[in-house]
Amino acid sequence: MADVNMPKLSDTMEEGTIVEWKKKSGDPVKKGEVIAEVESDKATFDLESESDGVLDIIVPQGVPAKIGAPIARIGAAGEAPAAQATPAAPAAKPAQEAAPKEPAKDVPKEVAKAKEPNAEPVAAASSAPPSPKPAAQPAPATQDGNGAAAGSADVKASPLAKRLAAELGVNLAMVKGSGPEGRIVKEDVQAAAAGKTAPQRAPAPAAVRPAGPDVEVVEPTRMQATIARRMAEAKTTVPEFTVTVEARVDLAVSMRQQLKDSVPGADKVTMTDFLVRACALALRKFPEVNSSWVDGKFQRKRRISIGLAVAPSQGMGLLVPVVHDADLKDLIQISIESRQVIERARSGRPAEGDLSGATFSISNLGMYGVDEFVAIINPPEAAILAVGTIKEVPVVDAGRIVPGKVMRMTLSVDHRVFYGATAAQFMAEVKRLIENPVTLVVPATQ
Amino acid sequence: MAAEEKLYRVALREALAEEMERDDSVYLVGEDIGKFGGAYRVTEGLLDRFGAQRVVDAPIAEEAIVGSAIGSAMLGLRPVVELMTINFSLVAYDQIVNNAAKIRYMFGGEAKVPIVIRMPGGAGHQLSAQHSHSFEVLYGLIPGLLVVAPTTPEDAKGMLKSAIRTDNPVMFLESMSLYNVRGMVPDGDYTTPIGKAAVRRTGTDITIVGVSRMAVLAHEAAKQLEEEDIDAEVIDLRSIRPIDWQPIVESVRRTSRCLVVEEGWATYGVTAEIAAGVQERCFDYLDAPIRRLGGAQVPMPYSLPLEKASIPTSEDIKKLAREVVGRKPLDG
Repeated sequence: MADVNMPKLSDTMEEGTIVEWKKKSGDPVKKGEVIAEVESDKATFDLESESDGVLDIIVPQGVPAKIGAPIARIGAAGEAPAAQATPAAPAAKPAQEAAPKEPAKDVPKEVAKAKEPNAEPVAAASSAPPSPKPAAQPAPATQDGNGAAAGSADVKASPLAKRLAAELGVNLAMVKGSGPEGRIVKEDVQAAAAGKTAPQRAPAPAAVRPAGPDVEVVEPTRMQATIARRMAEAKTTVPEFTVTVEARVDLAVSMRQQLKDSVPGADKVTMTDFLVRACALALRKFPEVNSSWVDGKFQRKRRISIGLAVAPSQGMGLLVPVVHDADLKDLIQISIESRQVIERARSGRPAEGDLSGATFSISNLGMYGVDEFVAIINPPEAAILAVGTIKEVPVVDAGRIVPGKVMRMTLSVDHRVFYGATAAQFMAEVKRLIENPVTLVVPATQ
Repeated sequence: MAAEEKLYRVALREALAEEMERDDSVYLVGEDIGKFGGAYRVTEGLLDRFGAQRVVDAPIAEEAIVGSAIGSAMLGLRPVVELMTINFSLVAYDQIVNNAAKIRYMFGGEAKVPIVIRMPGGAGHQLSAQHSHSFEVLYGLIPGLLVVAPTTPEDAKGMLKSAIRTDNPVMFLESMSLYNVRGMVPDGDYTTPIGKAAVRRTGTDITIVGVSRMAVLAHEAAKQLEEEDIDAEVIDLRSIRPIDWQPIVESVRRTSRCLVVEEGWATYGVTAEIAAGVQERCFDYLDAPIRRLGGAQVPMPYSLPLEKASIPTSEDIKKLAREVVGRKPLDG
């Protein structure tokens, strides 16, 4: 028998949930076959079987399990204890799991065997006879599972709202309730049927006192809960300071256009890709920045892997897909790889390692027109670069005022890991590289 | 029909006098109802007018008063008993439940008990735990009794006349707090039917059903809720047994929301019965849970502030109505 444990799918993952078991208990599985879909704090992953055998599910779907906790077993075909003994394997399973813990004291085994002639000797010996006590054991677990599933599908609506919805052909799942505790009431259904978004009261159309609570309570997704926890942790435990520089990016902008126009494979290169390359080179020069403060010691990271803060394709959240070993890749490689890793993360199906192992992060809000901003460090990384928009401004060049393109970048720094002078030098180096973009297109060196 | 403004207690007195004039078999019996004119002055002047044989001052013995009245009713008289308060009716409860309510049934209809038992209930006068009950439910649950609680002078007179004329025992629940209420009373002989609720105010947002004096407070609350753009319909239950479901059901099906209010304890109370009945009859029309409001579930405190805190107020009604409608109070 081999245990299947809840895998650790990201740096921040503490527990995961089986979204769906693709196989039932008792089903034969092959090595490499997808047996379940597992949801972590960041995304949903396929869980593959690591061996051939017969699946024996321990943790039902919808129930969270800590990483490393056994969620299933894969046994040899003949070894499967209960699955073969009773045809109704999945349902009966918990009973037999629970049974040995509470042996039926009153019923001698011989009698038990006689009572259940169909049971194979192995099953009878290793599990309790079908006495009422152990049989009753699995009920709570089973009901919990069912209850959770039913509860999530439940829509809270008044009887009148339900009747009206049926009459008017309104799908209650699509209606937002304005009644107490979010209950869907008559007006909500009528508004939905009329194609309106908000309920209106006939006598007082002015929204003086709209019906419903002032505050709507929304459950965070697992990802949002993790972000909340991690950001609060960063802000309360990391003593940070920030350093801002403004870089001329006229050359970078024109070089990017040249690359897109003339270099195969570079047609989708972005300013962020330039920054990844620039930061990777700067990090190699300043290993203090590519470090962490852990348990009172510095950790210098040999690999330079850069996380890119991006929004998920739907819903509110934050993903940080990682370009690994960015210092060993040239700009075109970085461009191709960052696009792939971002796409995988946004699709909710990242590959292993896509979301972990970053040693430095970049957050670019330039595309939203943000001038500059301060990003929160993602521990245990020591720094994060916040990048603003590219603006055309009058600049003084050799004593003359000329139009120029500038971009402001702010580095948030964990002051435990490195200090102001290093931060300033690091930023000067990033600025130098981005202002002389030819340095970014020369081939990567080992 | 012409009408005149009168006190609730005067309206009752007129009903008694007019029925005694109309029917010689009607007589009054109770403690201090003759010479003293009644603890709440309802029977004032009737002893002089009808004599001691028809206005009987009884000893302080409620069981004997009610028991003798039942006996006389079985033999053809129409006694109208006044119990000083509903609190003392507990002494006569066995007579009421086991005799008044059941004799007609147990004798196969050969005997009937045309008795009216008048008694004031309710709290608010610092009469403390033993003298401040609202026992509508104690009588409302007994098959064989008719139980009414009029809240206006017009109803007080009209329903008392109906009660005296019916051949079945009627528990006529007055309220200590309503005796001095004024209201228009039609001139001449009229009756108000027993077993009918009254819609006191029409509205579209919520149906508030009030029991006894709480119907009056519900009406006050509804007027004030209008300022908050809540249009409440108020139904005065009037008849506790039988319950007049039709106007309540029609109303709730229109408003989709219901609040029931009584002065007594709501657990197992009249409000519980109304709420259950409305739910059975209006389930698919309900847009919010039915709520009920009753007095604090304690023996009534003597302390004035505590007593006030123990009795539902129009503010309490407004607060709960807002919750049912799903609205915040104006001042947050």
